[in-house]
Amino acid sequence: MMPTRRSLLKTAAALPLATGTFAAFAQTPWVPTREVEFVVPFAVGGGADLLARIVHKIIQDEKLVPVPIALNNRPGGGGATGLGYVTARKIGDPHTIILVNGTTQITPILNPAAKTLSEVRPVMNVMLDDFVLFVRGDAPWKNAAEFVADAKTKPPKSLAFATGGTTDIMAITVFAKATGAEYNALNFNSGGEALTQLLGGHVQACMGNPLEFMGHLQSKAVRALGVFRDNRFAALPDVPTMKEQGIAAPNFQMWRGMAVPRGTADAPSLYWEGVFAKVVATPAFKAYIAENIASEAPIPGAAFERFLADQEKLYRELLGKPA
Amino acid sequence: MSVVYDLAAGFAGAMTPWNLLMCFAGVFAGQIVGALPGIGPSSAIALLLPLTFGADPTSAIILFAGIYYGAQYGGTLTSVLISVPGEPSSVMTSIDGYQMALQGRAGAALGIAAIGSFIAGTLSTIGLMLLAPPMAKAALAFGPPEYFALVVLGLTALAAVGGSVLKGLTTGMFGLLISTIGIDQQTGVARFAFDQIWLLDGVGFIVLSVALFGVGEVLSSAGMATPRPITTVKNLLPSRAEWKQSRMPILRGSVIGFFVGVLPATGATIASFLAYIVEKKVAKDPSRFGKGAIEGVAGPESSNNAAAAGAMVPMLALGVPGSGTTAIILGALIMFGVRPGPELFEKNATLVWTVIASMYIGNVILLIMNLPLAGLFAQLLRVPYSWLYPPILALCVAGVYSQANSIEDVWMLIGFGALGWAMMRYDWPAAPMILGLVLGTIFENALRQSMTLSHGSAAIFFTRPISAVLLACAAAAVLAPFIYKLATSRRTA
Amino acid sequence: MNLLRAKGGEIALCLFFVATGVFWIAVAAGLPLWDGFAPATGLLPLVFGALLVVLAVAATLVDVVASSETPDRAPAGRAIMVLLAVAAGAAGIETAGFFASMFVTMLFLFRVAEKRPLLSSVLASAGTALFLTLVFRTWLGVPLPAGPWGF
Repeated sequence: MMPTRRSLLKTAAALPLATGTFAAFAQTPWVPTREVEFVVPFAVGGGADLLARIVHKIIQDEKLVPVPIALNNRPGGGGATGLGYVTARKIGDPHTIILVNGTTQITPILNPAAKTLSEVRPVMNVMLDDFVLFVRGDAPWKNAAEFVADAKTKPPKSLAFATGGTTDIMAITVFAKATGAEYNALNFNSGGEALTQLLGGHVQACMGNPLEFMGHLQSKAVRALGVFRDNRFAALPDVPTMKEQGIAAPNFQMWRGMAVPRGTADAPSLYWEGVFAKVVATPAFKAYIAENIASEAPIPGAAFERFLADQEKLYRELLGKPA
Repeated sequence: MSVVYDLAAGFAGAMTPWNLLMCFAGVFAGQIVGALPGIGPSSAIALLLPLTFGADPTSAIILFAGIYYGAQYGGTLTSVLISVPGEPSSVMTSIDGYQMALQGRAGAALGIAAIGSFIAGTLSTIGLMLLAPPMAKAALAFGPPEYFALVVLGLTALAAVGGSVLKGLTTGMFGLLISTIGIDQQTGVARFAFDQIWLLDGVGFIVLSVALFGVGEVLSSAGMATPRPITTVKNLLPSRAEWKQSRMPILRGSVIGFFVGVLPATGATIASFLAYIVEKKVAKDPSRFGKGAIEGVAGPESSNNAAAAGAMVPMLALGVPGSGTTAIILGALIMFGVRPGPELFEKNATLVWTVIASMYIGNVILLIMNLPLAGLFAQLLRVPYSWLYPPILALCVAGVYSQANSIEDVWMLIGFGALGWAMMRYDWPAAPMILGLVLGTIFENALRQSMTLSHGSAAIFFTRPISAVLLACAAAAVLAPFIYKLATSRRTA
Repeated sequence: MNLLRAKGGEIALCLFFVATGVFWIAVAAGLPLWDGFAPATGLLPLVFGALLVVLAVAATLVDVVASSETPDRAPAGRAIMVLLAVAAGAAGIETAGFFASMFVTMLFLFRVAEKRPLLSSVLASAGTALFLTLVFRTWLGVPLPAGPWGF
């Protein structure tokens, strides 16, 4: 019972704080007056969509917003379709909120036709996903340092990674740059497919979010060799960080947050910041974060914009596409 | 004997009133979303997911599994009756099933699809129950070269599914060509998208099949100078002779579907294609195909149902998704606090066995529901076509729009619908084009992944045993007719 | 000239496939063809385009040589009218909403193309449009576009 009560207390403490900042900044408090559209630029059923549905459910269950909210999935092109839709229809509309994540930032770097995040006004980051280097349970390497040492004794690209998308490839780039060894990357559709290839022994390693392989880690079908963080990850206390193992890899995590369309005024933007601050403080959201082996990371307003600018620089560097 | 014990416990769990209701609700909802083009089981599950939070995970998974295999039954309905494939996996059914409907045998087509689906669903659930762990391990042997070889085998069918060999190859090549539109999965960079955001994801499979089969058929029929005769619905259920013809296709379809379904990167759609091709190859008179051969319905319809149960194998035995829909069910398991992994069978035995038991029950419910419905829905064809086709067009528009909430998809529907009409008019087969689109992406990805893996050596396709055998089969499929001709001409000469 | 009249449609369709193939070759030639160990973005589209051109020409030649007589075909007028009606309906979806544009499209097809009685046409169009809106929008939560009047 203790943890529940403690998290409830935390919630209670967080609420006035969030509403406090809101009240201090807003000159004329804004409240939505008609149905709000929640644009999800990804397909129904994916990880981003699930997050949107959880946030949607929490807002409705806790009655955080006085009007109904309708989810609108606009999937396609790695988030490009959804952002394009917002750009075309919703500029300055405070009755629209949008889910944004690392993919929506990476897509326009690779495909100049896609709209960038400058089309939205970032409101709050809500969570971060970690990247873990993992191998099969029967692999000879016990940690990332051994893996790198082995890679360096072999011809370049002898060790192959299976990836589930661009973000995994970037994690491999981070790793390769930090270790000075070259790896072979095979790109698959999803983290699940990449994991299947690893289990089948077709590749030697994977770089992915803990959510995708947690069950396999517990049953020792796979082994985690290292995580890209400054400190150890609470959900994986036995897995050392890259830095602990002498690999100078920067902190690399994927973010997920909420935004409103470009041109939305300050008052509504602050209103939504207040709403999401309440959402991330609910026990339901904390439970969701725990089940997904992710990290809570509420970063509001201006700090979120600075965070995104840093991420953009990092992504461009990793993809070899300087601005 | 532990299987008997486990299964008995599973049935005890599945037979509670609440779980029975969930099972019924699942297959019923699955049947409906299956029949609607555009909306599929994955979107139905995602829509219901928030409603099931806090519920018992077992009941929720019973519901989701029911939607998944129920949708495979539902997709048949619109394919046979109005030539609009409700699901990608029932595209092949629109070929011979619709021809049967035009001959007044819609009831027989729907009936054999229901019976075949029931048999296939039950057989593959037995397979799931008895063979899941070894099958799942075997499926892991499929790396990029093996998938490449499997797709090459599938591509040898391009010429076989249509009428003229050259025309089939041409439309198949067009399908392969349009599969290259959009973001290249290997680099993340778009090609052939012409700076249009809506082309970044390429041409949707359901858009193309609804356009070529649904809209194309409407335009051809509506354009006829003489109105199409009203179909008389003869017998409502398959005759004894038809049942006899369908027995082996149902068995073959079940086996093909189960094995293809178990492979994580292939699913019900490819299973139904392969089953159709196999039926055409083994048939005594292949020319009947495309003109209302009941084997062309029984094989693919059994196959897609078996594949749905097959896709549960890697999910339950390994904790990895076997298809797009099972990936969502896996996500749902996590939401319920059940951690999917290789030990699901042991750690969550109650859940697994209750779901398996519910699949037997769900298939019985679907059979009971579908046999009377087959006759009832066949009556729809008594309605004159002039009353039928405008609503069909509206359904195609709504379905295609709902797939990604995109108006551009509707424009593609109209454009490809016009192409489908022209192709029908000049006897160019449409099925190879869809086969090309489906297989094109896997073909290209597997080729590039394999070459990367082998550091640029094509030998990888021949040194790995499974890949070598599959490629040999493909070579045999291409060369067999020539060798046969050569042999017979020698003999006569 | 006779050939063109007899086989105009086939030749036009063949030209469509050839033009697409040539276009694909042209675009793919500008993309990277090989990268490291494996084919890059452009190689397979280039190959597909080339094969499409060859196959389309071969298939049409065989077809034209095999038979020179024109089979009886229905005039294309009706099909084109139906296609244009649906296109007009699609054009109206975003402004007038799904219900209204599909209602008008179906009404046109029933009444003008098929010359059905007015009352039955109105009822059938309205009923179908309502049913589809109910199923897709209300039950399945698909945001089908609404018109200025809210549905």
